[in-house]
Amino acid sequence: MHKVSDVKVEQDIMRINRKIASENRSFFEKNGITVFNIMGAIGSGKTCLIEHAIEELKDSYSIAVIAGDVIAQYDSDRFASHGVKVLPVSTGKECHLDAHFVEHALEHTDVKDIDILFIENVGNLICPSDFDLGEDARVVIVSVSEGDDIVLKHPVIFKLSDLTVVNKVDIAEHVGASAEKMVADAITCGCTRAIPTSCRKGEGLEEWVSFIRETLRT
Amino acid sequence: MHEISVAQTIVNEILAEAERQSAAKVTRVVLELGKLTMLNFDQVSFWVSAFLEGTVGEDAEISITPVDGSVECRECKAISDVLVEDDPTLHYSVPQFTCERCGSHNTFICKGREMVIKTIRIER
Repeated sequence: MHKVSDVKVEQDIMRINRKIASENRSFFEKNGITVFNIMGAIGSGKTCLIEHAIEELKDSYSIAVIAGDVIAQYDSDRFASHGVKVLPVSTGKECHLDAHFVEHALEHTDVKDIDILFIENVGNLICPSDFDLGEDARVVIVSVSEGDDIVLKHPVIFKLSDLTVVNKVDIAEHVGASAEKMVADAITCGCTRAIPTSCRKGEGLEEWVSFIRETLRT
Repeated sequence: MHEISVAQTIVNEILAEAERQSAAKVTRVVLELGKLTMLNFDQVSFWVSAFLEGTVGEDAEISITPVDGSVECRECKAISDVLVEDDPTLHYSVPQFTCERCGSHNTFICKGREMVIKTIRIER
């Protein structure tokens, strides 16, 4: 006769990520590094917006970027051309960064002298929302070309973000999307701040950089 | 979607627990998954079973208890259920995170993001 019993496990499978994220956060705090987790779909303009922020801020602050991508080389080269420290993280088929990827990247590069760390997440509006990386602020970027119902289709990531950037508003008319609706939807989903931008035409970029400055540790 | 990596993590935990318990078989796994994880529960169940093939848990029944979402209001501290509205134009449900008492959007999710292995039933 087999002995059958129910065993209490009570294991939250995210606890390991939370533990590492909290260690990352302590490290960042100790070294005075402000960290931005930049999320958004493929082609929403994450890289471009980070590049713009680097150009605006690099004379006053020391900046590094963790470039997370399926193949990280391409974005890494773009960031490196701005003269900042780049930590490429190729995720392979993993569709998001987790705290361990970030911890691992930090083991290989000394960032103690850095003021601002941008973490460019993998292009995806679903998976990154579950994984705390140890950041100070979460930013989600969407472009009008994703369709103006994209925000309502992915409410959780907007709820969990500190800033929504609705990018490429200069082409909204041509793709039949309402940038105003997308900004309003982000606020409805519970994101506290949402701004329209155009990386190409410059609209809204001042506010994007202001958000970063306001978040910095004093 | 990351159902596969979630399922793989669940299976690793189940097998580790089974080994700690010196289990000959795992016949049932009870999971608690929050609705705001946006995980597709059928997919999780499918991949957990798939990864358990060839292990002590290969015949295990997978039971998933869904956990509804709640938000806590930063303004008035009330806790509200996350309302799910069917949007006929989008053909699916849209969660609303507004405070039921004061109507504020300034809320945070306090329930609904769980990914917990509750119990496993084992034979020794």
